Amino acid sequence: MSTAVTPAPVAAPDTAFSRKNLLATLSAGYVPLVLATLVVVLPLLWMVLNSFKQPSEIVTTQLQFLPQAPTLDNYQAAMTTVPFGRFFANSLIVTAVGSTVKVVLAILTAYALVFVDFPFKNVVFVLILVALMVPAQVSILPNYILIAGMGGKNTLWGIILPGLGTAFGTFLLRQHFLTLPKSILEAAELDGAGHWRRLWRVVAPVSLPSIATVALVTVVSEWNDYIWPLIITDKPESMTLPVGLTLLQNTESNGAGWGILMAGSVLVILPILVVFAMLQRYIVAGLTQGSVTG
Amino acid sequence: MSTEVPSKTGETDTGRRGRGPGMAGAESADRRQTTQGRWAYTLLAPTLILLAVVIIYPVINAIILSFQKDAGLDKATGFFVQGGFAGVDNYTHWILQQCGSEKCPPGTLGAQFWGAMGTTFLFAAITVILETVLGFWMAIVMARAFKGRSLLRASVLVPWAIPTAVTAKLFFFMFAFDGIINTVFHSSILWTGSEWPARWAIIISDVWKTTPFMALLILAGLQLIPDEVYEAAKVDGAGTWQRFTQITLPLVKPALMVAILFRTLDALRMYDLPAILTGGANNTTTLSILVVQQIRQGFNVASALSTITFVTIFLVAFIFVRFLGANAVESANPRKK
Repeated sequence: MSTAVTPAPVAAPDTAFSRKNLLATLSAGYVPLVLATLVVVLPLLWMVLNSFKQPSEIVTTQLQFLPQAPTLDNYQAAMTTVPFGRFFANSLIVTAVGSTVKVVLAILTAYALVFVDFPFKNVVFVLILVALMVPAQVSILPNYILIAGMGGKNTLWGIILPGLGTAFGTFLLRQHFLTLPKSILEAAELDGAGHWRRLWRVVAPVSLPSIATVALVTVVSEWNDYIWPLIITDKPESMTLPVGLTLLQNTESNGAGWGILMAGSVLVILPILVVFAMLQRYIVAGLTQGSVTG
Repeated sequence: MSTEVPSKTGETDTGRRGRGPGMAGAESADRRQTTQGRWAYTLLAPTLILLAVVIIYPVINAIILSFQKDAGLDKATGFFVQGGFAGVDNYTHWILQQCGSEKCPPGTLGAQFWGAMGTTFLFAAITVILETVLGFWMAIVMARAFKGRSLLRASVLVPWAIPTAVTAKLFFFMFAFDGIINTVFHSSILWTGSEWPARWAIIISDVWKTTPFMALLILAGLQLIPDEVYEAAKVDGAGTWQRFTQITLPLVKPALMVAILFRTLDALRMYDLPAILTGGANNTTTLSILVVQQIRQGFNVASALSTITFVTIFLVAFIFVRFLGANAVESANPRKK
């Protein structure tokens, strides 16, 4: 595996510890590693550090990296001014239901678009593609009227339903399905497997890495969605985490507000970081598997 | 739940096939066509119904609304105006900057249209270019084998998993006048207070947040290139640069173009970052922000603006697919035979 994915300049057969080789490894591997990690981690670290500071330490003329007297006051304030537990539960439900439906639909649609012959195939595909280009702001207003009319304001299904209409997963999966050799399906077809069996027994298992990628993308975009939940909810009980966070900012601004805001931000990203740390192995494994089968 | 329905259809299909009139040979192709068609629509139905309800219906509705007058006080005459058919007034309001009979006074939403259009495209162009270049580089690094690769992959993907609202808040805090960025660089820039610093603040935040996503998409494309191709090129004596331009680029191009297309479409809809970072002040208003602001003043005029946005985005996507080879539709053809 270690040599499998290497579009690297493994130049002349130098010894492993030759100067050239070391230099190449350093410049192409570790330097970007350190750089990227720093760029990513420093802002987040700053956020965490400030969430433990007292108001007087946050707004100062002299830079203070570490909190002098670490305090949990900000967290307590963030938890009590807004119902964080509720936000979290809402976000969790919306993300779980929304992304499950989206991924399943994407698999079905992509399969039909690639492996089933039917008239007007390209028309259907272009239609889906066009749907993808609709800016959220076009559909937001009519959607609002529609959902509010159905009594979906401040409800979780009201948050979930309009979000289901994206075609990104379909698009990505279709792109991958097109690269699958047709022979594996012909074998299954000869064995008398119907489309349904071919989809779940042959195509889906082979495409697991791509499906995992689509699932990850969907979960993240669902979790981060901001503009629609912001518009369809106005009661804290039905808000999701990103919307709830902006509520926090509105309650108190400047000075002490910063610390509380940073504490709230830490609380918002903590669950994703945990999920991410757990899923990361899968995603990385999935992606590398793809190269072996490719 | 949705998994049950098509499988039932599948069973009845086979059942009927058994009982069918014994026309051997010739019938099979014809019949196959019908079952195929039925299958396709069974698989597609949930998605198509959903798209019809949450996308197509709203779009048509928005277009209808955009030709209606907003009821309210006419600023010019001071009379109450009933709704009704407005013709293309709502469109000329934006495109030709017509507010009633005269030109929109500066400061109104109508007057901001072309500025917002420019800002949107500026943001989209700069962020997509930066994100593509950096993302490509990150993808190549991530595709390599070295110690700590999983750590790198895990850590660079984190910003993308963080809600934009949090990113915006975090960068707002860092870009504050007495914030860390001014302190570290010994600068005293009012980042969110004037045009270009505010724009760069938004661009930097967006690049920080979205580059990992680009990298992930490009990485997925890179993984599809078989190693043998590189080996063969190496044997033929191709250098690193040659291998990159002759093999990596052409082979990764489909995935790359799709990634760029999606990012561009997304960037043209940018809302949360500028909305939270600057609130659209200092010429950082994007079309999306303008739409949301207009919604509060009049639905129908807002509908016209969102329709214009939609058409603009559609045109951009069309240009991508048609001329730049973001091969979305055509690649289906060879498979169809």
